[in-house]
Amino acid sequence: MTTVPAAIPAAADVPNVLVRLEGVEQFYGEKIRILGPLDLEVREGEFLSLVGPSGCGKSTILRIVTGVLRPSAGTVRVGGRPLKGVNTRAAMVFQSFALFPWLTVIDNVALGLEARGLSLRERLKRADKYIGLVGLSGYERAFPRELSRGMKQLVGLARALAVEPELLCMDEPFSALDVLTARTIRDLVLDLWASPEVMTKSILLVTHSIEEAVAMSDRVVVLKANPGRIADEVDLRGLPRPRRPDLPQVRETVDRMYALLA
Amino acid sequence: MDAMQPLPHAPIGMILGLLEHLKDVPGGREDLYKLGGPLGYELDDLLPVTEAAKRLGLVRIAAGDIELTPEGKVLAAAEEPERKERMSRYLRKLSLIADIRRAVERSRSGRAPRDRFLERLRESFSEAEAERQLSTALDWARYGEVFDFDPDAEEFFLPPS
Amino acid sequence: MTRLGVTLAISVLLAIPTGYLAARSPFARRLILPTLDIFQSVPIVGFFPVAVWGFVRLFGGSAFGVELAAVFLIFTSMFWNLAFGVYESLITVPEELRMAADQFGLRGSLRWSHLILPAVVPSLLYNSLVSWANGWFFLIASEIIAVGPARYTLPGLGSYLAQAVTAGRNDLTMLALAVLLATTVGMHLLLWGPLSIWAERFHLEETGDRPRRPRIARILGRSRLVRSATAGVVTPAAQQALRVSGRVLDFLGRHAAGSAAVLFGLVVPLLLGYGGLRLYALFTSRPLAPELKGIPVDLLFSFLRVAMGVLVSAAVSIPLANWIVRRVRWRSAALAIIQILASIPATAFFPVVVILLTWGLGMNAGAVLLALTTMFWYVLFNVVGAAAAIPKEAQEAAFAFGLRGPRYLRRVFLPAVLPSLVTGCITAWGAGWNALILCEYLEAGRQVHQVRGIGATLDRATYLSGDMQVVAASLASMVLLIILVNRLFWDPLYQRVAERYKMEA
Repeated sequence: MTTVPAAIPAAADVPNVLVRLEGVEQFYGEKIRILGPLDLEVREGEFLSLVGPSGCGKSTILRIVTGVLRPSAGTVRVGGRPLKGVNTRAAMVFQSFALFPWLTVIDNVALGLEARGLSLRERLKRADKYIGLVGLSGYERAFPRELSRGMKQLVGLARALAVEPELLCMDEPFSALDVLTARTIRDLVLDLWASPEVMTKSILLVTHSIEEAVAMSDRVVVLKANPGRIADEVDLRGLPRPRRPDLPQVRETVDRMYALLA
Repeated sequence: MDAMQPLPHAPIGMILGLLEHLKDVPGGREDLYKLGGPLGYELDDLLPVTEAAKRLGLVRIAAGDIELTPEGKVLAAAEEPERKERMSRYLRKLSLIADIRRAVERSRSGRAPRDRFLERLRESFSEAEAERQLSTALDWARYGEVFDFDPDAEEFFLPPS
Repeated sequence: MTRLGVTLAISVLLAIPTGYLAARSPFARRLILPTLDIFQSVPIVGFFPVAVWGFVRLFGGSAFGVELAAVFLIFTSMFWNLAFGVYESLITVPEELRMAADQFGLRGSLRWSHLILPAVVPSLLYNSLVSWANGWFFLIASEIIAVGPARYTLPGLGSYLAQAVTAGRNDLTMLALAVLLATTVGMHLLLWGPLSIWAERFHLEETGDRPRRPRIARILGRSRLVRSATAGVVTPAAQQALRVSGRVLDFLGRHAAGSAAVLFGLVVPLLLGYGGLRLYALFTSRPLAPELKGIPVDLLFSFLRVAMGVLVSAAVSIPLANWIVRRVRWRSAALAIIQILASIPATAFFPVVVILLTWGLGMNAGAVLLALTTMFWYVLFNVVGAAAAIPKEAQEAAFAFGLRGPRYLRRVFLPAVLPSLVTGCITAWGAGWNALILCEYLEAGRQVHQVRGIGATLDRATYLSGDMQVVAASLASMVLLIILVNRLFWDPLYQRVAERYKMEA
């Protein structure tokens, strides 16, 4: 494991593991191995990024973590116990937003709450709260097609946060956005994560951008393709936040990671 | 502000993004051409954004440079909900938004039919452009919580504060 | 009209699970899709006599049997389109949306009301609108048709109309037509219009910054009446219906699906087997009827008539559509009008044709004309839709290059609308056969008008002689011809045209 040479908080107690993948493999059909076998932990309180070229299975890993995909082999443990079905302690933000076009913003945000058995009043109240947190108040009654892409992703973010997951999963959430908007939302995500209003403990981000991974994460797992497997792991906890792209330390780290991938 | 000057079609998110970007640039001032390349924008997309920011009084454009006005600086530095409040004030200075707001405030039901404004705009613009104007106005107005829209009844209405 | 409503409701209720099954299970798909395909191309009107005969036998010769036959007939005109539409909508749901539904725990009735049903609403609505219009046609047709020597009549507007025409009472005919027109317009204003407005939000295409307004909705949306109907009544009712349907379908899905599948798998082959046996008996139990010899020629004549109808429709539609589309202001209004006109069944035009006949117009032309009244609108509607979608730049470029008039039509317009033109022609082709069955043999004002054709043969066998052999043979030959032409001509044509002339956005 490569580390960034800087002060690391000493004697950190062994953190809780939110999700653990053990010996997970994924096949396409019978013969073609897409992924694994691999082991991965998502620890409590960390921002973990998965980077790698296309085909390395990073999105597949995310689907396995959230439970929408069952791995061909291996175990997924959530809070120590094997996962059966969808992971209700995680929520996902999608690359192309996956908003329901026939639902207003507030209905979209409240979507996950109906299945969790909240009453109508509670659902609306919670949806309102998170819409406010992402800065979309005023747009509750708008339909997705009236929103810019950045706003759609904010709705996706609010929707995920509204179910108050302990793990927030993001699948290349900014790749469909323009540079300015992406930056604004990235900052927002970090602010919300740190805010006491939001109960999310950890964030798992899948991205193809090294700059993005370095800007946001405590730890970066680098993946290789064919089949997808872990190539390396980088601990970025020593890198101080906020991580402006022009800071020399940041630039160095990015360079180093590019070298890793080559 | 001139009555029938059309609103530039820029999503409110990009206008805010522009302000954020300029806030981080030293002196809050940048060459216009620099906005395009590094940020990955086409000029076509950028011009409405800069134009919109100018109409709102948040930036000043001169001699190929774009710079935050004092109002722009304060707004860019502000956090929500203060930012939204400030923006709302500037939005209400634009004639189309002000007109719609006035109409919903004055009506007994707190609602105003969209068609009325569409007809008025049709006097100066094509049908397609008139529709776009209203969409842009609505997008901005929603951010500033100046008014909202009910698509079934096709009416603007006063948002519950 | 209640007959129509009930039938539509039944069709929709059955179409949803069918389409859903086809989308979910590949095994079901292999069974269901081809079935839908074949039955879609069969002209239904021809089966009415058989249906009546069957249902009447089942219910001991009562009026109820005839009513049921009518319902069945109309059902068969609606069901295939609806089911197909459901299937297509479901397979085009984006994967991410399905994943989001999984992720946020949308299972059971929630999944139905939040994902599956919303996805199928646009196509259901569109097809319902079309089916309703078609339904009128068949409703009136079924009210007119009789079986055997005795005449069964069903109470309703159609019979009224038919009797008025037969009796030569033009004033009553006009009255009936007026009522028909009023009902159609009323339905559009109060039901279809608001429903279309409500259904806009279910369209899956990303349109960026502006909500898409389908044309008829936009025109109707201008009226206050429509708007208050939408907001006040239709939208809340529709949303509630969605929720309730979600629960019902989920319940059915869990409890009834298995047994329904078994039933389907057993009953259909049994029916087919029985039908086959009866047919066999029919042709072997007595010497073949002499009329059977004439069938190929009859078929040829009818075929020529339908083909001519298609050609004329296409030839007129192209310049007409171009003309309409150029008058931008009239475009939306025109489409709305066409849609409404298309809902008027051809049978309503009988009286007009009859009048023309009495002025000496040959029956040949008369039959084609009548068929045209149905066929033409399908083609026109499709062509105008495509013409309106020609990007302005293409038009301007053509203009700049000096392509005007006929040359414009040939080089720019025609290629642009070709796929839609073909689609419209295919629909018109199918509709034309249906119309012909009715049109080749007419009784009006104590006179009988008829021409040589398969429709006439069928009608004569049905009305006059009751000879089931002729009926069965005419129907079978017609169906065969249609299926052959579809497979060998229309399908390949469409494939080729769709590939070469797709308008890239």
